[in-house]
Amino acid sequence: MFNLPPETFWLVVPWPFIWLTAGIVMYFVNKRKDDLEDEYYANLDEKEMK
Amino acid sequence: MGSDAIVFIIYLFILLLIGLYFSRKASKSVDSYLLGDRSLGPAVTALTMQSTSMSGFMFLGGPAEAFQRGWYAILYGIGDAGGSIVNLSVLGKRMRRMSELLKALSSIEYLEKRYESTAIRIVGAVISIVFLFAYVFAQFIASGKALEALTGLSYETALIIGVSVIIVYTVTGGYLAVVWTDFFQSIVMLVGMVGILVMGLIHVGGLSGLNASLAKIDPSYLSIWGKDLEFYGQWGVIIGAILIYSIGYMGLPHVVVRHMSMKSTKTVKTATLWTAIYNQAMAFSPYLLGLIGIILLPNIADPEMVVSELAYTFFPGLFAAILLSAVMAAIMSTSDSILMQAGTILSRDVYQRFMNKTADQNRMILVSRISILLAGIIGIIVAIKQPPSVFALVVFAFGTLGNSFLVPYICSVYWRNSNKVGILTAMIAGSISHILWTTFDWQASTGIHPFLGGLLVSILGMIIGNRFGTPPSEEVFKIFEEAKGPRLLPSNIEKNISCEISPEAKSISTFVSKQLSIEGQLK
Repeated sequence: MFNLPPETFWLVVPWPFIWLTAGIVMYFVNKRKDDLEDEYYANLDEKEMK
Repeated sequence: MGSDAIVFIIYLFILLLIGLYFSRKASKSVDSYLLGDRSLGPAVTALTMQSTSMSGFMFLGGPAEAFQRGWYAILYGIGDAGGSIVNLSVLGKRMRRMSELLKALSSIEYLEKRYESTAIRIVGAVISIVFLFAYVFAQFIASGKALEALTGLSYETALIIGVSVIIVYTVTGGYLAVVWTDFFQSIVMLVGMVGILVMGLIHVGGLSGLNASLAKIDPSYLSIWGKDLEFYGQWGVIIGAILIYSIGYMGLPHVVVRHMSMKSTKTVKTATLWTAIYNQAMAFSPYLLGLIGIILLPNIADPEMVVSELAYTFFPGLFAAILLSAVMAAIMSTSDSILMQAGTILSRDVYQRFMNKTADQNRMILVSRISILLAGIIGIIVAIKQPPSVFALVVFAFGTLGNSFLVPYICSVYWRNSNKVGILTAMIAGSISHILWTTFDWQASTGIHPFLGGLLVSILGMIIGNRFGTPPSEEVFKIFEEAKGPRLLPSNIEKNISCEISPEAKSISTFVSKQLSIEGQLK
């Protein structure tokens, strides 16, 4: 484990992976929100057109 | 003049050109000068946010901390690596929408309009001006130190040259020049930092070799509790060190303004991805370089110069100078944003709000430019007279700003009934507690990091203060709801509603058609 004491290793090494995963998850969460928003406004426009 | 100095002059000249390129566009309107017409895309938003957050501290203060305290310093890097992801995810969309609905151009004006309180604007402006100045002084000191070491010029001359360039392109090009130079400089920072780190790791035999060598000198360098187990068992210090840069960015006026200048709320998703990747490459490198310095440069006089000394150890002069432009990039990309924010607050929140309410666009741009110029000149004078340590000054100013504004910005978009008394109490309690915690070294007696202490006091102030004020007006409530975005029901609920409504709809339709047929028969 890179010659680190276990305490230091487990407190430090997982973080880059945690943050990277968080970034990717947030990308998809926000993408879903954006898609739903687009759908909502498209429906709103259709209703107004009618 | 050495070839290193020529490299830096070329680098500074490129920045000036970017500033001049945007000068015409910046003079178009106040919105354009102060907020770039809210037109920034995801890559620029992500990298300007990150390079603004990562200051001269990254190349000077951070490595020096690791050099002195070992692996404990990497805790700051852990927070830094996720700071912008948290910032964009928590505040991004809502703050972008609300700032536009409130027609706010500065982050302090935003708070005033959200809580309909002049007192918030006054207190907010005073706190941000004082501590943004302290923050920018640290950057100026870093700039002087870096240029002095790299070009051989005296500290004062180096300081004046470095800061003058920052002032010129910020004054002429406004916000757009600041964000585009930040974008360019963030790439320079990444190339420089990673280049030096790769060579450093090769020299010490990789991460395992580095740790083995550190253990031979002093095993406590490898401990997360600090050298000589200085913070052993003090979880308040450990958590505070991680939190200061992971959530502290949400309290910096010159960083949160990036949410307000995004092209649209859709910018957030890709910006989060950009920053997640960029940060993992950048945030840990300075601390690792500080650790490498313990092995390769044990007798260095000034630990803040570890990165530049390592660059000259690994690379020939000219190439080292190119990589070390990254040091200047980190310093300049933060200084310009702070100066820009200080200019915005002085012109928009002080001059236009309290001195000349009818000021036209040209006058406002002129006042902004003069404010930036004055802030820069005062900064140079202070930095020449009192050069303290970059690390101490940055952590102090950063912590105080974070403790003052973090709770107010989060409450502004998530707590509908938060009111002006709560916000004022949170701002004042947060800033005072951080100042006292640092000044009287309460960390030693309580085992709690000043940032964590200030944050807890600020949250408490918000909860208690909020009991005494009156809620904002209906108009603000409406804006608050609108800033949440369209409220969409999950598809399964939508389906159930249709199922429940459908029998009734069927009955109504049968009834109506029967009625119509009866009416038809009667006719």
